[in-house]
Amino acid sequence: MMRASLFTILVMFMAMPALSMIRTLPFPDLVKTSEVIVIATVAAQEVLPGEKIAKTTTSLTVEKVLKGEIKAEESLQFTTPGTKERPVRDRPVFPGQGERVLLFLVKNDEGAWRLQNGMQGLWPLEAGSDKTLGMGFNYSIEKIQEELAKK
Amino acid sequence: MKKLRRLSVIMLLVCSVFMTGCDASQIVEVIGKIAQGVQQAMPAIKNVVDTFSNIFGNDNNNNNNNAAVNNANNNNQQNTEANNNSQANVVTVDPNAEDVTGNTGNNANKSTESVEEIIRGAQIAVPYGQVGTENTTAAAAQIKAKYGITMLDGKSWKDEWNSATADKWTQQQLAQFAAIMEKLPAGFRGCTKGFAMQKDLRDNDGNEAGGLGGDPIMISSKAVVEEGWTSMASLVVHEMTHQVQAKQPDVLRQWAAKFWPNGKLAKSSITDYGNTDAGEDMAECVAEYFTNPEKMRQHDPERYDFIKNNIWK
Repeated sequence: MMRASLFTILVMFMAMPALSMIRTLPFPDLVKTSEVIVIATVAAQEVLPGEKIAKTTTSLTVEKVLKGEIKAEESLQFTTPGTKERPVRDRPVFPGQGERVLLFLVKNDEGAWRLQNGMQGLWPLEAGSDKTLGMGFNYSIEKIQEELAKK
Repeated sequence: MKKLRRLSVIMLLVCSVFMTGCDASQIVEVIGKIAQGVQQAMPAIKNVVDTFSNIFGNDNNNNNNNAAVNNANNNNQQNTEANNNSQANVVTVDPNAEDVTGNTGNNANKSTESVEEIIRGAQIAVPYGQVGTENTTAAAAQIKAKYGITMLDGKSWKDEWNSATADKWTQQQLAQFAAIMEKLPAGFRGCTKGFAMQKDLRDNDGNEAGGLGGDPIMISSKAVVEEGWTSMASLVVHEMTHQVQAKQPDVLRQWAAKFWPNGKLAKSSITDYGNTDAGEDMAECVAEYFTNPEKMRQHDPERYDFIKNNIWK
C-alpha cells in the first residue's frame, strides 16, 4: 500500500518535461556573440525549492577575463533548474564548490548576466588540466583566444 | 498509510481537474495517460520507491537506537543500494571500459546515477490532452493505424522554466513524417507513441530548442522549416532515440559503459551537443546514422557498429 501511494505521488511530481536538442551556435558565433567570456570559480551553491523541481543558485568569482568588460573577482550568480544530483536535461549544471568553469555571457533584458545559449555557454574545466568539457570538448582556451584574435 | 493513499488519490483528482478545466472526458483521458505513464516509468519509479521504502523501513527498525547508529545504518543502506544499482545497471559490453565490480568507487557510482537520471528524464510522460489535440486528418490517422503513433497539434503552454506556442501539422509535414517512419526499423519505431507539433520551444532565458523529450515528443516547427537549424529527419530520429532509451534502458547503459567510462567522454560525439551527456551522444549519433551513415561510420566505427547491432532493429 505504501508503495502504491508513493508511486502515485512520485509520478505527479516527475511530470516535468525537459528540453532536448537545443539550437547549437557554431563556435565562431558563440565567441563573437558573447559579450563577456570568463574563467570563473564556483564560490558557493545553494539548493532552493521550486514550483515542481528544486533549483540551484550558484555564485562564482571571476578569475580571468578573456573577452569583454567585467571586473576580475566580480561575483556572478545564476539560478538554474534542478540540482547536481537531479539535473534537468539540457539545462546548465554548474560543478561543485571550488571547481572552475569557462562562461560565455550576455546581458538579459534586466541587465543581468546570463549564459549564452544556456548549457552551451557553460564549459566545465577539468581539474588540473584546464581541458574544456561539455560542449567545449573539441575546443580549448587557446582556440577561444585564437578566435578572438581574428578580426 | 491509508491516509497517505487517500491523499495521493485526492491529489491525483485535483491535479486532473486543474489540468483539464473540469472537462469530464479530459479528466478520464488525463487519468488514463497518467496510468500509461506509470506503466512506462514503472522500472525507474520502482527503484526510487524501493529506496524510500528501505530508508523508511530502516528508520522504523532503529527507532530505539541513537542518532549515530541510525546515521551509520542509513549510510550503509545507501552504500548497499548504490552498489546494487551499480551492479544491476552496468552491462558488461566492454570489461575494460568500466570496472563492473564497482571498485572504482564514487566515480563509477556517480556515472551510474547520471545514466539512470537520463533514463528517468526520457521516461517522463505527460497527458496528451495537456499539450495537444489529436490531429484527425486522413494522413495522421494512417500514421496512427500503421505505426501506432498519435499525431498531436500542439497547445500553447508555459511552466516555471520552459514554454511552447501552439502549432499544427501541415499535410506536407505529415507526409514527410510518414516517409521517415517507413525507413525506420520496427523495433526502434515502436518505442514512440506520440508526437506533438509546436511552433516555438524556449527556456525562460529565451534560448530555443528543437524538441522536448518524453511522451509525447514535442518538436518545434520553427526548427525544421527551410531556414531552420535542423532537418525533420534528424530531429525526429534524435527525439525517437530518447524514447528507445526510455523503453530499452539497458541499451543506454551499455552505450554509457562503452563510450562514457566512469561518466567521462572517451572520444568526441558526432556533434558538440552530443558531448553533453551519454543520452544526447547516442541521440545525435543515431540521427547521423540515419541521415548520413557514411559520415557516422567514418567518424567513429565503434559507435556506428553499436548502433547497427543494438539500436537499429
